[in-house]
Amino acid sequence: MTDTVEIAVTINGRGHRLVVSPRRVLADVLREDLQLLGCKIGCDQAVCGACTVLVDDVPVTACTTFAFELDGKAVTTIEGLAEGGRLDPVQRAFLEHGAFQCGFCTPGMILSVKALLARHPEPDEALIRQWLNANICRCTGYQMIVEAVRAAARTSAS
Amino acid sequence: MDGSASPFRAPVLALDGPDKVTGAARYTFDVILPGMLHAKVLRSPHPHARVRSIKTSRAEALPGVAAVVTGADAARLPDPYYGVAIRDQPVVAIDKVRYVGDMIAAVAASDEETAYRALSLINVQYEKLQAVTTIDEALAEGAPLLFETPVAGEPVKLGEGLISLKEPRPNVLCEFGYTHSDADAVLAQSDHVFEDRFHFSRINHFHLEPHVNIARVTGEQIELWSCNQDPFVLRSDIARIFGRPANNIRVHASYVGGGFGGKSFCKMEPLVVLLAMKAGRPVRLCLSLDESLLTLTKHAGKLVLKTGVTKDGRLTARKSEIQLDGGAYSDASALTVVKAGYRITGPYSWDAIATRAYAVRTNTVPAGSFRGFGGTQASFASESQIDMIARRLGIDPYDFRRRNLLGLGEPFRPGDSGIDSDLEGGLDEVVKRLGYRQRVRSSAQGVKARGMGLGIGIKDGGGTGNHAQALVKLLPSGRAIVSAAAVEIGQGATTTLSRIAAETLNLPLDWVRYGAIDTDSTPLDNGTHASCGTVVTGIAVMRAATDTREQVLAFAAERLGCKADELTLDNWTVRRGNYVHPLEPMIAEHFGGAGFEFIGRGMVKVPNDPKAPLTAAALFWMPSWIGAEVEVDRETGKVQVLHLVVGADSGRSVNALACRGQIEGAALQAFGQSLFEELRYNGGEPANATPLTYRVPLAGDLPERYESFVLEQGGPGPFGTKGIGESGMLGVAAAIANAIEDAVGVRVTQIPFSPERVLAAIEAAR
Amino acid sequence: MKAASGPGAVYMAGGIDVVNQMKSGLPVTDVIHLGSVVGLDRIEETEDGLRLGALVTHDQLATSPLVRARLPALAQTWPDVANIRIRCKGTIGGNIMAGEPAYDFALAALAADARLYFLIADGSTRIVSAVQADATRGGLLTAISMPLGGALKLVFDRSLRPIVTLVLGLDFADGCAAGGRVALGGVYATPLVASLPVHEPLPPSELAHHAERIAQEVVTGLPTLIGDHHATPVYRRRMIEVLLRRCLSA
Repeated sequence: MTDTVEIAVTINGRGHRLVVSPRRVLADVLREDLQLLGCKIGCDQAVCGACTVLVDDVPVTACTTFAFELDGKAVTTIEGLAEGGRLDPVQRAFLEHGAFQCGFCTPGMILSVKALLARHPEPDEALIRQWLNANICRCTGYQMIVEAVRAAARTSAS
Repeated sequence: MDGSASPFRAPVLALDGPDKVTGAARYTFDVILPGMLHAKVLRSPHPHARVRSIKTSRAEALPGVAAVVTGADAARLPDPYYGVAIRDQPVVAIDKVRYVGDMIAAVAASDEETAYRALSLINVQYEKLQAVTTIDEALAEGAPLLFETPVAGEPVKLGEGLISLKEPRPNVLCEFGYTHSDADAVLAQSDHVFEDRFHFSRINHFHLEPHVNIARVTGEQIELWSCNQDPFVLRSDIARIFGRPANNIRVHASYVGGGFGGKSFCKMEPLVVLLAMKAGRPVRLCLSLDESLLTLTKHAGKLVLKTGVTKDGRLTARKSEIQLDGGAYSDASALTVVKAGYRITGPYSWDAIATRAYAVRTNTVPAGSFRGFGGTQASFASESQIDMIARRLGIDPYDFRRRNLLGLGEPFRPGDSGIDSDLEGGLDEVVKRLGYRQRVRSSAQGVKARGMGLGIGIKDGGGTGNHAQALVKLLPSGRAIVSAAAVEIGQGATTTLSRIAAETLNLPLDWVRYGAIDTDSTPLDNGTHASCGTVVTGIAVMRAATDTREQVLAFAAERLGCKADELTLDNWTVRRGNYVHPLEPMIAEHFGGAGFEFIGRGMVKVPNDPKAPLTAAALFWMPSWIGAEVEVDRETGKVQVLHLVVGADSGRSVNALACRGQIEGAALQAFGQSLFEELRYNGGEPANATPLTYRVPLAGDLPERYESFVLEQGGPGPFGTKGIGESGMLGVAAAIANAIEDAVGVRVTQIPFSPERVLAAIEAAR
Repeated sequence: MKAASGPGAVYMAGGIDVVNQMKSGLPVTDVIHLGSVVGLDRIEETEDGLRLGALVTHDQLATSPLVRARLPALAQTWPDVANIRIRCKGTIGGNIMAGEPAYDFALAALAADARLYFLIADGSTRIVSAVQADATRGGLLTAISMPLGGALKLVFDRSLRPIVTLVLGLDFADGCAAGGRVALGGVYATPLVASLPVHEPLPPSELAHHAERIAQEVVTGLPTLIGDHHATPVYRRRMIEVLLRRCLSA
C-alpha cells in the first residue's frame, strides 16, 4: 500500500485538506484529528450505528468508512446540525420527547433520522421503525424515539 | 397522597439533554490525558487451565510498548482480589484461568495497534484442565474445582433465622436459605401441590459505551477516570487492593454510556491502575464491545418451585430451590442469590415458605448485577407458575391473582415493610389497556392462534439499609450546584436530583447544575443501582437543600434584624410580609470580595432492623404490571408479540419522560430476552459473543403496540417519590409465556421462547 | 491490475465485507477500490432480461422504478434487507462475491438462475449461470441479469431469519409453472439452491395442490444442514418444508 493519501473533504461545511494513512478510518479522523468527539464508537464493527455520520447526506458508520473514500465528499457530524446555538428540529424533538437516556447512541441516531426525513418527510411508524434498525439503542425501548421522529416530521413540514 | 399537591406537574426537559443531542456530552470514553498510553488485554482461550508460565520479554521489547502486566505483578499487591462480599476475582489471572475471556496479561503502549501486536508476542504456557460449563457439570460428583481452597470474604449478613453461607460445597459460591413456618407440613395438608421447573437464560448488558477506564498514578496518588457506576465503592476497593489510604485515591465519573449493572462494582479498574504504575504514565483501557460481552452477564439458572394451593385457589406454601449459574467469579453473585431467593414469593400472601438459593461456579463468563437482579429470574418462575396453577384449577389467571395479592400495608414477608402500592389497581389498568376481558378464543384448527397473558412483578426498592450523602451549594447569584455521587447512567439522576433541590430552594430549575463527580469533593454515595437514586440520594439532596435554605434564611434574618421563621425563600429573594429583599446585594454588601456560598449538607441512612429478614426493612416496593398479547404460528412455533403493556409505580414522577423511558427501556430488554436475546455457549466456548452475532432488540422488533403507564401511589422519597429504574424488567417473560399458553394451550418454561422451543412444546402436547 | 498486484490484493466495492475481513486479520496488501469505476451501477432492461450492474447498491435496487415494475417481489422485499446504512453502501456484486450463507441478493440470484457476467484478465467476458458450482471463481463480476418477460416469479420468505431465509424462483412458460429453484440461506455453510421437482407444467391454481409433495421432495434431497445457537438442523429442515409449501401455495 502507498504510505499516505491526500484527500479534500468538507466537514460540517468547512473544507479540509488531510493527509491520511490508507488504513485510517473516518471515526479516528473525526475524533483524533479534528476533535469532533460527538461521534461515539460502540461496537466498532458497523453493527450498532453509534458512530453514524452523513457522507453526502447518506448515513454511514464512521468506524468502517476509510478516510480515502471521503475525497471530494461532504461529511455532516452531530456538531454540524445546530446553527448559531439554535437546535435543529430533530435535536429539539429528541429533547422535548425524552428520546434519549444515556445518550451514547444519540448523535448517530439523530443523524440517521436526518437522513430519513430528507428522503421521507412524512414517514409512518412502520417506516420509522424499519429505518431505525440501523441504530441500536439499549436504553429507551425505541418508542419515544419514534414519537420524536414523528414530531420532528410535523415541525419540519410546517 | 393527592397528586395535585405535587410540585412536579410541569414537564421538564432533561438538564443533560442539550449536551446529549448536540454531541457535547463527554463520557469516560472521551477522556484524553497528556502522555496517555493505550492498553489491550490478553485473554484466556481456555475455559479452565493452570498457568504454567508467561513469557513477556518479546512483547516488552516491541518499540512503543511501555509496560506489560501479568499475574506476577498482581501477586505482589497487598490484596489482589475483588468481588462483592466474597472476593475471588484476581486483578489479573495469577495461577489459573477460569473462563474463555479471563484476563491473563495486559500491555500499555503508545497506540492500540502496537498494544495488540504486543499481545501476540506474549507466550503463555497453559496446562489445560477439565472444564465444567453447566450447573449440572459443576455439581456432579468428582467435578473439577474452580477454587481448590477457600477464598477471601464473608457471606452476606442476613437477619435472624436466615441462612447465609460462603462456599458451603464444592463449586458452590454461596447459599441463601429462608423459612417461614413449616412449608413441608403445610404442603402435605394442601389440596393440590404442583412442582414445576423453569430455566432462565444468560444475557449481557450490551451498554453501547464499552468498559473504559483511565488511570494515572503520580507518586502517592492514584487517580481514575472510570465508567464505573459506584465511584466510592471503587475507591475503597482500590485502597484495599493497593494498600493505600483512601484519601490518596481519586475517582472521577462522567456521563456513563449505559450501565444496567454491568459497570457496578470493581471490574478491570485495578488492572488499569497496575499498568499505569508500571508504565509511569497514564493508561487508558477501553474494552471492545466483544470484550464487554465476556466481562459480565446476568445470571442464568434453574428454579424448581413446589407450590401448594387450596382447591378454591388460595396459595398455601411454596418450597423453592434456585440454582444460579454464577460463572467463574463471584462479582455480585452473593447479593443476587439473596435477592432471587427472597423475591421468589412474588406479590402474594403465603402461610409458609422454604427457599434455598445458591450460586454455582462454572467456567463461563462471571455473572453479576443486572437491572433488577434476582427479581428477573424469580418473577419469571413465580409468575409463570401462578398462571399454570390457575389454569390447572380452571380459574382465570386474573381472578387467581386477585385472590392472593398482598394488600396495601401487608408486609411482603413477616418483619419486612408493608406493600405501598395498590397492586390490584395496577393489574386492573393492564387488563383495561390490553382488552383482556374482550379476548377471543382462537380456533384450535388455525395455523395462527392468539392469546393474552398477565404478570405482576415485585421487588424491594432502594437497596437494603442504604445510605447517601449530599451537598448543595448556593452561589452569591443564587445559582446552585448539587453535589452528589449518583452517576448519570441515563436514568435521569442529573435532572431528578437537580429538580428536588430546585423545588426545595424555590429556584428555577435551570439555575441548578448537577456537579461533576469527584470523590475528593463530592460526598459519598453507596452506588448507582437498586433504583435508589431518586429516593435515597434524593433524600440526602433534599436534606442538604433544606440545610442550605435554613442557612440562607438565618443569614437574611440577621441582616434584617428579624426571626428566620418570618422569612420565606423565593427565587433568590427573601420575603417578609409584603416586602421582598433580593439576596445578591445583601450578600455583596455584607461580604464583599468574592461573596459567600451557602453550603448545605444532608445525609440519609435507612435504618437497620434486626427483625427484618434482610437486616433492614425495604424502603419501598417496586411492582410491575404486565400484559401481553401474542400470536403463535402453530407450524413454525414463531411468537409475535402484538401488544405489550407495562406499568410501574413512580410514587410521584419528578420527571415523567424519564419515568416512561425507564419502564419502556427495561421492558424491552426483558422482551428481547424472552424471545431471542441470549449469550450461548458451546461447552466452554461462547457461541455468539460478538456484536454481529449477539442479537439485541432493534426498533423493528418492537411489538406492534407498545405502551406503558405510571401509577403515582406515593413513596418515601422527596415529595412522595419512588425509584422506578428496574421495575420494567420484572414479569415480562412470564406474561409472554402466559399469553402463549392462552393462545395454544402449551407451557414453555425455558427462555428464550425460540420458535423451535415453542414448536417442541406444541408437539409434545399433541 | 489485480493479477499484477499479487495475492494480497482484494477488490472493494462498498467495502463492508473487506473491512470486516481486514479487522479479522485477512492479510491485505492492496485494495482495489471499484467505487470510481464508471458504468458498473446501471439498471437497464436488455434482451437478456433485467441487467443489474455489480456496483448497484441494495438501496438503488430497493428504490428503482424499473425493478419495481419488472421484479415487484424483489422491490417489495428489499427495503427490509439489512438496514439503510448497509443498503446504501453494500453492492449486489459484493453480496454475491462475499459467499456468505445468508446474504439476500446471492439467494435471489440463485433462485432466479441469474446470469453472472465476469470480466477476465484477457479482457473477454465470461457468462455463467448463478447456480453453477464455482460460478464465482475467476474474474471481476460486472453485471447480473435476471430473466424477465413474465418468465420468472420470485417469492421471498424471510420470516424465520436468521434460522432460514427462503427465496423461490418459478419459471413460467405459457402461464404455467414449468420448474424453478429454491434458494436457502442460513442453513448451510454456503447459500444452497435446489431445483424444484415440477414434473409437468402447472397452472398457478394447481401448483398449490402439489406444494406439499414438491416441498417434501426438495427437503429429502438436501445435504446435512447446520445446527447453531439459533436452531438445530432438524428444525431447519422442517421449516424449509413448511415455508416452501407456503410459498408454493401463495
